Order: sequence, then structure tokens, then C-alpha cells
Amino acid sequence: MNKGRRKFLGYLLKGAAGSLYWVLPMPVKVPLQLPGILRDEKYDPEAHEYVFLVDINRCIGCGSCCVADKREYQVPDGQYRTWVERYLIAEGGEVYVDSPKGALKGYPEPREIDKPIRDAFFVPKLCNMCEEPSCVQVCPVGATFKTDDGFVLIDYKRCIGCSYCVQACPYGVRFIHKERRTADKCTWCYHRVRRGLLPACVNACPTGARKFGDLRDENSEVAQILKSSEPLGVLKPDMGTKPRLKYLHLRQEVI
Amino acid sequence: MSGLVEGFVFPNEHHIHWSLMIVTYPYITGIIAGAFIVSSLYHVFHVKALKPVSRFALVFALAFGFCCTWPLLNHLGRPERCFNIMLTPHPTSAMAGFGFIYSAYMVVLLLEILFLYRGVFAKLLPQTTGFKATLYRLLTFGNQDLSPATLQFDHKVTSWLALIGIPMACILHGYVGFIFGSVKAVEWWSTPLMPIIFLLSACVSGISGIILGYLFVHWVKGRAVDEECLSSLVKYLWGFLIIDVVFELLEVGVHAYLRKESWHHLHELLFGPLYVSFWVMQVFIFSFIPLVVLGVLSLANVRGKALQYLSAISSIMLLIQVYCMRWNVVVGGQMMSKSGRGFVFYHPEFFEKEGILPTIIILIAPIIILFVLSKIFPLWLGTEEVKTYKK
Amino acid sequence: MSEKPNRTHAKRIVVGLVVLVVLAATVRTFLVPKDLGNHGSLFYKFYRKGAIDDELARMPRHLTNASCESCHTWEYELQVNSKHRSLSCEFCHGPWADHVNSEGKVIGYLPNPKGGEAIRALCLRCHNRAIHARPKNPEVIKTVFYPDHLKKQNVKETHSCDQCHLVHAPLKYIKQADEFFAGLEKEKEGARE
Ligand code: HEC
Ligand code: HEC
Ligand code: HEC
Ligand code: HEC
Repeated sequence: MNKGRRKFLGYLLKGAAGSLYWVLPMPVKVPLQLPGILRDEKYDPEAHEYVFLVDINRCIGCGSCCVADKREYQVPDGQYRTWVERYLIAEGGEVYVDSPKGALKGYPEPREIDKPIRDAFFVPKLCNMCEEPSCVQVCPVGATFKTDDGFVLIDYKRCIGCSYCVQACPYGVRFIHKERRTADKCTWCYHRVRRGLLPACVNACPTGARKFGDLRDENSEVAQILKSSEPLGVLKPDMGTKPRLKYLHLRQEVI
Repeated sequence: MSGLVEGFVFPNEHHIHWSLMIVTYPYITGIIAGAFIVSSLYHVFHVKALKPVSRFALVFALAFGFCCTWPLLNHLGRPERCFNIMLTPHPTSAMAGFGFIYSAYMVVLLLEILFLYRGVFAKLLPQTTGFKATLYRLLTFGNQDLSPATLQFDHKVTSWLALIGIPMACILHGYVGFIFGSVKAVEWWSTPLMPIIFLLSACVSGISGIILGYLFVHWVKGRAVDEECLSSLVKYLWGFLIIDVVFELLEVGVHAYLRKESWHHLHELLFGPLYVSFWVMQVFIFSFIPLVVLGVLSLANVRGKALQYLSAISSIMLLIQVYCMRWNVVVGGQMMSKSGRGFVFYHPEFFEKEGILPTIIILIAPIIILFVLSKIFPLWLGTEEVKTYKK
Repeated sequence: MSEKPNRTHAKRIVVGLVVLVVLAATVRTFLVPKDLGNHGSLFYKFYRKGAIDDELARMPRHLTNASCESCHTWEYELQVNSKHRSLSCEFCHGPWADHVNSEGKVIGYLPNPKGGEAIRALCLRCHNRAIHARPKNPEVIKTVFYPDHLKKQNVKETHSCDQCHLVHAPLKYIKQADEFFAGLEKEKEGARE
């Protein structure tokens, strides 16, 4: 383990400006899930436009994504980079939402409501990767930022843990990591994407409710969907944050 | 820390991030700004009646100024990195200015005090010995000249610093209001009125603090209270309070009249979990009662013991009112879930890191510091002249 | 005011302040990382470039199903050719990084969901029809009611799901059984003729 890590750091140092080259070490060789990333040897962040799509009609609320996410990042208990909400909408328009333990254990029990239900569905939530992220705007020390390929990341070495970004995020995806004592949030698995792997939650999703891909890659599923007439929506559009996370079949009750 | 919830809140919201510390921090900056404005009323606007408290108000502001960063440092997840905010200030962040605004303000405040007291120290030097004498010599920066020209020069510099200090004090605190007012994700905060409300309540808490401190010291020392001074303080307090309350209610009124989607959630907050601390405490008990009492004191020109006792009681009530207001803003905003479907409750523990005990310590510390400072800076040197104002 | 004021203290203070500011500026240049600054937009791209490398230094803890193939070919082949092909091995078993290291050595054992209760909970996590928010569309997932499903098969409620469904290929045995009975039927028919 240690040796592997050292080897890896060597890689980083060798590839001057490590982040630009596609020499990122992988634990083992596996077929890549995002072929677009190998288009050329040098990684050009401007040549990619990643989007995340969530198809609400395909989510079965199993919580595989939440489990995968928690294990991938060893997220402390009680904090969530991603979670799944359950919506029940009664015929009268009343909306019942819950998300026990952020769906880490899935939804083992049905929610009993003594009204006829008109619509019921699950809504996975994660970082919206806004084009105009309000969390970045307010960070006092420049410890959170947007990369050229559109990811909003956190600089864990400079964050002072003031929680201003937590307040500013309209989607509640940020939290102060209990052990690191800095802000943390979903990164769409930037470290995996740059290695040609799908985000952990997308990889774990059994039904394809979570989709991820590069818009510049004509053949990718997300590019096909964004070109089609499927009903797409974003959360809280009036916040002016322009989320890059899009929802297919989004209902207006979802906040 | 993580409290009860009602309805549905996002899973990361079970924890209130801005705790009692962030309630206390604007409270302290408010007192600083308000106290400074009292002294500037004398130094810049020449409100002669306020002369007896003009020095006290400055040192009072300084004592609270020293403690202003404590709640922030205690709140930061990584306090050891606090200087990042001045090393790499993010150009677009409302909070990044804090380090600079705070330090610049403290410098102006310190300089004003030094220039104000240089002559005093120079005069006192012959009567002092030992450590204190060394300290005085240091604080006069080696210039013990007492010629009228030099004193005049000091006076002029003081006035200029006081003049610069007014906008700076307003910025220091109005800016705290901006930090809240510019968070679009929290409906209860995002209003352009926020900086104004913060500023006005700052003046209220600052003047109340000065009245209370002044009365307390004079009662303990058995000195005669300058009623002219007290009465004008009361009038200023009343004036600021009127505008403050009007704006606070205006803010709610605008939300209520607009009846946007957010109001329906806000309405549930104000008439649910925040009912007691907002309507009952902040508005009815601790605003309206002092408003009436101060009004009577001002209009009827009450003097004597009645003035002293009633103004002391009103000041205590207003100090509580402003703390309630800070609580209702800071905690209230976070109680509303961003899901629009629930509330989180916050019940600070007594002993936790950001709990009640640290808050009490942070609020008492400035008073102890003030006591220490009073040994160095004679707060009431104007007492000889006070007599001339007495009836 | 004919006399000139003595301004030495003011001069000293000004000099002191200037020295302080210069000192602070010098210290700052040492403390601020060289790669921190505006990388394209003051609004959203004011950061330390190295932070991207820090993020990339994170090793994936989950890999793909294909990463299990080399050592667990049997399970892998089963699953890939079944209705469960879209499931992640690591969801049921735990992440790769807890199991194997980059040299291919096994460093820990992944837990196996075992026992009727645990298996049932696992299967029902995805297949329970009682959770009404689950999509009704059978193309997304086929769901069953528990214990009605078992009653329909004429077995006890305590029957574990994996007694009929192979976990990694849920329909394998059922298809085999169907084929077997279909074959019997044919044979019977053949014998009759
Ligand atoms: C380098 C080869 C290798 C790879 C790659 C590998 N395993 Fe294993 N795995 C083993 C070995 C060896 C054992 C131990 C078998 C034993 O001792 O019973 C094992 C055991 C297991 C067990 C426990 C079996 C039991 O009897 O309890 C599970 C579950 C498992 N592996 C799952 C996985 C999954 C899922 C992956 C892919 C992420 C994976 N393995 C990748 C070699 C590997
Ligand atoms: C639906 C959850 C699920 C998925 C997905 C899954 N497994 Fe399993 N796996 C199980 C269960 C449950 C067992 C225990 C076997 C049993 O009791 O029938 C098991 C057993 C195993 C074992 C141990 C077999 C033994 O002989 O003890 C291995 C190895 C294994 N799985 C590998 C894999 C691999 C590789 C994949 C991915 C291709 C995978 N599993 C996907 C649930 C799963
Ligand atoms: C992580 C969610 C998940 C878990 C856990 C899971 N399944 Fe599945 N299962 C699926 C999905 C998704 C499909 C296939 C959907 C498709 O492609 O039609 C499926 C398909 C099936 C099918 C085939 C249905 C058909 O006719 O198409 C059976 C049978 C089945 N699963 C049984 C089980 C059993 C038994 C277990 C417990 C060992 C189990 N599943 C655990 C998600 C899951
Ligand atoms: C007694 C054997 C048996 C047991 C035990 C059993 N099943 Fe089945 N299951 C079947 C058979 C047979 C079918 C195929 C039925 C069909 O094709 O209509 C089936 C079909 C399914 C299907 C697909 C339903 C569909 O609409 O095609 C699912 C999902 C499923 N089972 C889940 C489970 C789960 C979850 C359990 C454990 C609680 C379980 N099964 C236990 C025999 C069993």
C-alpha cells in the first residue's frame, strides 16, 4: 500500500504540472468507463464538458449510490455527500418528503399515508456543480473554486472551516467534515473521472438512474439525451446558479 | 449541537453551523461600532453634553475590539489557518474583507486613543513611577511636550481620526450585515435592509452599553452622575431605537406583504419556532417597553434618580433586545431548511466548544479588559469639568 | 499659535505603521503559495493550482466490476450474463481497496452477505414492491411483494431468496428448471406419440 502510494507520488512529480497529463496512476489496469478522456495524451480541461444526469423515473431508492459514496470517501456518519429523498405527492397536492439516514440503508419500510397518493418517486441529490457557484463566490480564502473542466472543488489545505459556503449553497450539499474540520462536498469523483472511471455512485447505480458523461463526446449517453426532447430540469433555477446537474422527469414539487 | 428537526430538512442540515459564537460576534462588533459613534458625536459633531463619556466610550470600544475575533476563532474549523483570510483574500467574498476592515479599524481606534491620551499621559508622568511610568513613556512615543501647539495638534489629529473612524465603524458593522444579507440561499437573510438593521441595532447596543457602564462605575465609585450627559445619551438611544425598530419591522413587513413563496416558509418560522424569541422577546418586551420608557424620559425631561434607574433598566433591556435580534437573525436563518419543508432547532449546550459557557466568557472578558485598561487610561479625567455642567 | 507643534510622536507612529505594513507584505510573499491566484476568472477561479493535484492524489477506492474478473471469474461470468449485470460487485461486497492492493495481493476479506435474513433484506432493498415510490415500470426493475412472492411459489416465508435465485445470476436456476420441466414435458409428449 505504502509502496504504491510512493510510486504514485513519483508519477505526480515526474509529470510536471501533473494535473495536465493523463499519466494518473491507477491501482490496476481496468477497461476505462469514460473513453473520451484518452482522446489525446495531454489532458485539456477546456475540451471537456461533463454533465451529470439523474433520471428520476429510474431511481429505485436502493441507496447503492450512497453506500458507494460513503465508502469511496469514508465520509463520517451523519454527513452526506449524496443522498436520496423519497417524495410522495397526495392527490390533494400535499407533499411528503423523507430521507432516513440519507438512504444509506435504502428504504426498507414503506411510508404509510392515509391519503390517496398521486405520484411517488425518489430523488437523488448531490453537488449541482453550478456554472455560477455561490459557494465559490463567498469563500473568503479562495479555498473552493471551479476548475476549467467545470468541477467545483475544495482546497482542503487552505480551507479555514468558516462554514460560509455551507450557508451559501442553496442545495444543502456542503458540510464541515467532522474529522478534517474543513468544508467538504460531493466532487463528482473528480479523481475517478480524470482516471477514466465513472463517479462511484454512477458506477454503483443498478438501473442507470445516474448518468455521467462528456457532452463533447457525441456518442455519450448524456450527449444523446441532451439532444433529445426528454424533459430536463434543474433545482432552484431562480437562484441563478446554473447547475450542471440536470434532472430528467423532474417534478415541480422537488426543491 | 445537532438538534431536533420538524418536517423534512436536508440530511446535512441537522447540524446548525453558525452557532452561538456567530450570534456573539456581530453583537460585539455592534457594541464597538455603537460606542465609537457615541465618542464621535462629541469629537466630530461637538455634542458637548457627551464630553464626560467621550473617552470612556473609546476605551470601551477598544476593550470589546480586543475580543471581537475570539468567537470567530473559536468557531473556525481550522483556527490555525485564520491568517489565510488576510494572506489570500478572495476578491469576491463578502467575508474576505473582515481581516482588513477589522485591523484598519483597530488601528484607527488605537491611534485615536493614543493621540487623545498623549497629553494626559505627559501630564501624569511626573506623578507616576515604576512600570506604569515606563508604559506611559512608551505610549507617548517619547514626546511629552505639553505646549499648546502640540496639544492643539493632538486634538486636530484626534478629530480627523474620529472622522475617519465613523465610516470605518459603520463599515465594520454594516459589513457584518452584508455578510448575512448577501446569502441568497437563506430567505430570512437575503434582504438589502440587513446591513442597515445591523448598523442601527449596533448603535442601540453601543449606547446602551455606554449608559450602563457609565452608571455602573459612577454608582460603585459613589460619584455624581452628570445628568445632562445621561439625558442626551438617553435621547440618542431613543432616536436610534425608533429607527431600528421601524426597520426591523419593515423587513418583516416587506416579506409579509410580498408574500412570495419564501414567505410561507418564513411565516411558519416566525409564528412557530421563532415566535417567542422574535415577537415576544425581541419585539414586544425588549423593544416596545424601552421605547415607551425612553420616550417618556426624553419627552418629559425626567431627571434625578428616576432617570438613572429607568435608563439603566432600559439599557439592560436593549442589550438583551439586540442579542435576541442577533440570535433571531443568525440562528433563525439557519433553522429554516433550504428544502423549504422543515425546521432545525438549536439548543446550545452549556459546556460544549461553542456553547453557553464560552459565550459568557467571551462577553465578560471585555469587561475585565476594560477594568485593566482603566488602570492605564484614566477614563473620567473630564470629571473636574463635569461640575460646570451640573445644575 | 505662533509656536510650532512637536510632532515627533506622530512621525514615530507613522514610521512604525509603515514598517509594520512593509513587514506584513514581506511575510505575506513567503506564506502565499506561488500557484495561488487568478486562473481565468477572479469570480470562480481564484485558487491554488496544486489543489487539483491534491484532489487527484486521492486513489479510487472502488474500481469497476471488471477489476474482479481476473480472480473471481466464476462469479463475474455468472453476473455479466445475467439480469444482474448492471449491479456493482462492490455495493454488495465492499470496495476494492479494502480487499486487494495495487500489487494484486489480497489485504482483507470482503464480507459476504450471509443468512436468510440478510439476503432477504439485500434483495428487498431493490425488489420490494411495497415501497410505493419505486418505479412501476418493469423495464426499470421487477418487484415482488414479500411474503406473497414466496406463497405463490408454495414455500415457507422463511425461505431464503438465494434458495431459488442465484445471487449473481438470479434467473439461472429458474431458467434451468423451466428448461428441465419443458424438456420433461416434451419427453412425455414424445413417449405418448
Ligand atoms: C487479486 C485477485 C483478486 C481480486 C482482483 C479480487 N479478489 Fe476477491 N478474493 C481473492 C482471494 C484470493 C480471496 C480469498 C479467497 C479465500 O481465501 O477464501 C477473495 C475473497 C473474496 C470474497 C470473500 C469470499 C468468501 O468466501 O468469503 C469476496 C466477497 C470477494 N473476494 C469479492 C471480490 C470483489 C467484489 C472483487 C472486485 C472488486 C474482488 N474480490 C477482487 C482475490 C481477489
Ligand atoms: C446483489 C448483491 C451481489 C452482487 C452485485 C455481487 N455479489 Fe457476490 N455475493 C453476494 C452474496 C449474497 C454472496 C453469498 C453467496 C451466497 O450465500 O449465495 C456472494 C458471494 C460471492 C463470493 C464468494 C463465493 C463463495 O464461494 O463463497 C464471491 C467471490 C463473490 N460473491 C464475488 C462477486 C463478484 C466478483 C461480483 C461482481 C461481478 C459479485 N460478487 C456481485 C452478493 C452479491
Ligand atoms: C442493487 C439493487 C439490487 C439488488 C440488491 C438485487 N437486485 Fe435483482 N435486480 C436488480 C436489477 C436492477 C435487475 C434487472 C433489471 C433489468 O435489467 O431488467 C434485477 C433483476 C433481478 C431478477 C430478474 C427479474 C427479471 O425477470 O427481469 C431477479 C429474479 C432478481 N433480480 C432477484 C434478486 C434477488 C433474489 C436478489 C437478492 C439476492 C436481488 N435481486 C438483489 C437490482 C437488484
Ligand atoms: C421458491 C423459490 C423462490 C424463492 C425462495 C424466491 N423466489 Fe423469486 N422467483 C421465483 C420464481 C420461480 C420466479 C419466476 C416467476 C415468474 O417468472 O413468474 C421468481 C421471480 C422473481 C422476481 C422477478 C419477478 C418478475 O416479475 O418477473 C423477483 C424480483 C424475485 N423473484 C425476487 C425474489 C426475492 C426478493 C426473493 C426473496 C424474498 C425471492 N424472489 C425468493 C422463485 C423464488
